[in-house]
Amino acid sequence: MNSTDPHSGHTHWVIPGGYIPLESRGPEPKYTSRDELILLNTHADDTHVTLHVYYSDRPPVGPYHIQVPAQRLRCIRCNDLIDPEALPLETPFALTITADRPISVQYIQRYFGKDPRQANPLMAYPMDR
Amino acid sequence: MEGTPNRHSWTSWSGSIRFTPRQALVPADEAALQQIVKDTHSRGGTLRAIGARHSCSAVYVTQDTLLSMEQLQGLIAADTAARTAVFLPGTTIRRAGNDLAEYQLAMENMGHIDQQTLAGAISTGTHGAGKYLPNLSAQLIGVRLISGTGSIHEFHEAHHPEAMQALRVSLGTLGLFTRLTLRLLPQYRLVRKQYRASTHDCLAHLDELMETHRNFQFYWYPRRDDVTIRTWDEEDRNVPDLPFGEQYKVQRGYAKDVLPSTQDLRFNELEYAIDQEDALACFQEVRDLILTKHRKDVGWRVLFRPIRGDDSWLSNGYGKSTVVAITVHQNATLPYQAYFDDVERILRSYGGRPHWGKKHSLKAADLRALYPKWDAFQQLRVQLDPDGVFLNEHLKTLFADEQH
Repeated sequence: MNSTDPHSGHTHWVIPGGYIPLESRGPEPKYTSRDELILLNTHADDTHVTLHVYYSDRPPVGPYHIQVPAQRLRCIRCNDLIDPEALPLETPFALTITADRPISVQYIQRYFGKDPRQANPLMAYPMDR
Repeated sequence: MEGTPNRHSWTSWSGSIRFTPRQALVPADEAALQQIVKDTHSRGGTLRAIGARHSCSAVYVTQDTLLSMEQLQGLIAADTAARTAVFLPGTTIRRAGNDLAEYQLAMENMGHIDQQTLAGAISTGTHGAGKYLPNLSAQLIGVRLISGTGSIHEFHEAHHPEAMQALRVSLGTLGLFTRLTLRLLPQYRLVRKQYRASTHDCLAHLDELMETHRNFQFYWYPRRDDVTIRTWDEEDRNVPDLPFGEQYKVQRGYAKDVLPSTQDLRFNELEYAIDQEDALACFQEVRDLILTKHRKDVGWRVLFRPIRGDDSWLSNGYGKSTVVAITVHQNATLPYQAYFDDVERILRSYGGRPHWGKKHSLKAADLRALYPKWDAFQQLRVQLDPDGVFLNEHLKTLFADEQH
């Protein structure tokens, strides 16, 4: 992949299906039920990413600020997002992601409850502007 | 002119405290401050001094006269040989550290951040972390103050040991400090190390961690059930790295630069000091409560810090060899009351004493049972402030409801 290719990603993404279960089984943090955000920056410069979290019953919260170093990926547990505030568990939410240069985004829901372990890759939708 | 009256709302650092005083004054010197106290006393008013507003208790709230100490900052004198220095009350801990460095002196310890004023941090019993390091007020060996009637008094531990035991942690109720004399250390360097670790490993090594390191604390994370550990040791002691966990940061420097942290995230907090022998069980009970009941809405961490006890009458380490401060936090934008109420019940069940600058629900009758020198403190308070000039509504519930 050409790291300076302006087409190696998008600057705006939406993930509508966020939901972090309350229940976790097994030693933590390895087996903490979680939603994970994976951000890939293939460019030669660092990328600044901002998140906003949307809910069904109250105004959006954000921005959450994340730096992704040049030509690196970052895995973020949504459970760990804390500034400006923690996300409630057991609550549907949606994420919007804005980066100052094109990035690629993957979203994975890893659940370790009483049901069999699940790891569900979830679509992150690029938004062209 | 010592200040311009202006009527506007004041907000605490976390945003949970908001009030509008009748006037806010900014005295330029002790004489101006004394005149304000005399005027307030003669008209039967009340006044409170404000520091950095980092406290999330209502200790500085007033509907009458609010004093800002922002013009009363700086080092007045330092004696490198005697290891003492005299400061104005509005000096921030950060500025004190920088000013002292010019005299090769340093404070024995400081708290998690260095934005508080000396008078505010000392008066509320603010502390750092370290089994053999008492709270910041223990560094106070002398004070000059303006009493509630406007008279000026000077106290020093060499001549007024009992009064100093009362004054060190006094919430600004014995008078307005105008000069603080601190006992200091020669400038010293520390190595700060930070680790990620499992809760199990941290707790299994807890006694050793508290004993080995000059400064030690850990944070427990409700959404991960793991911890981060911070240690600080003298650079020339070459204390080995921890045999467990993952080290992710090392920093070397003068204490003033490596002890405090930058804190941008706003939160409310509840903290009690627990006897060291009960601290582990108490922490585990708080941890279980959060995991089973509050994890849905609580994401921010729990802090565990050992502190040496002391003999200051209203210090939460009074009469103890070592206490552990257990602190819970909640994002400033999220509800905290139900969470704090539940945690406070546990902390109180262990005989804990609250941090005066943080949220707590205790009133005079509760507090009197916790502090053996409570009555002696109240007697001195009535002598120095007979008409309650320094008592706001919050402090009345702590001190004045149980007058006898």
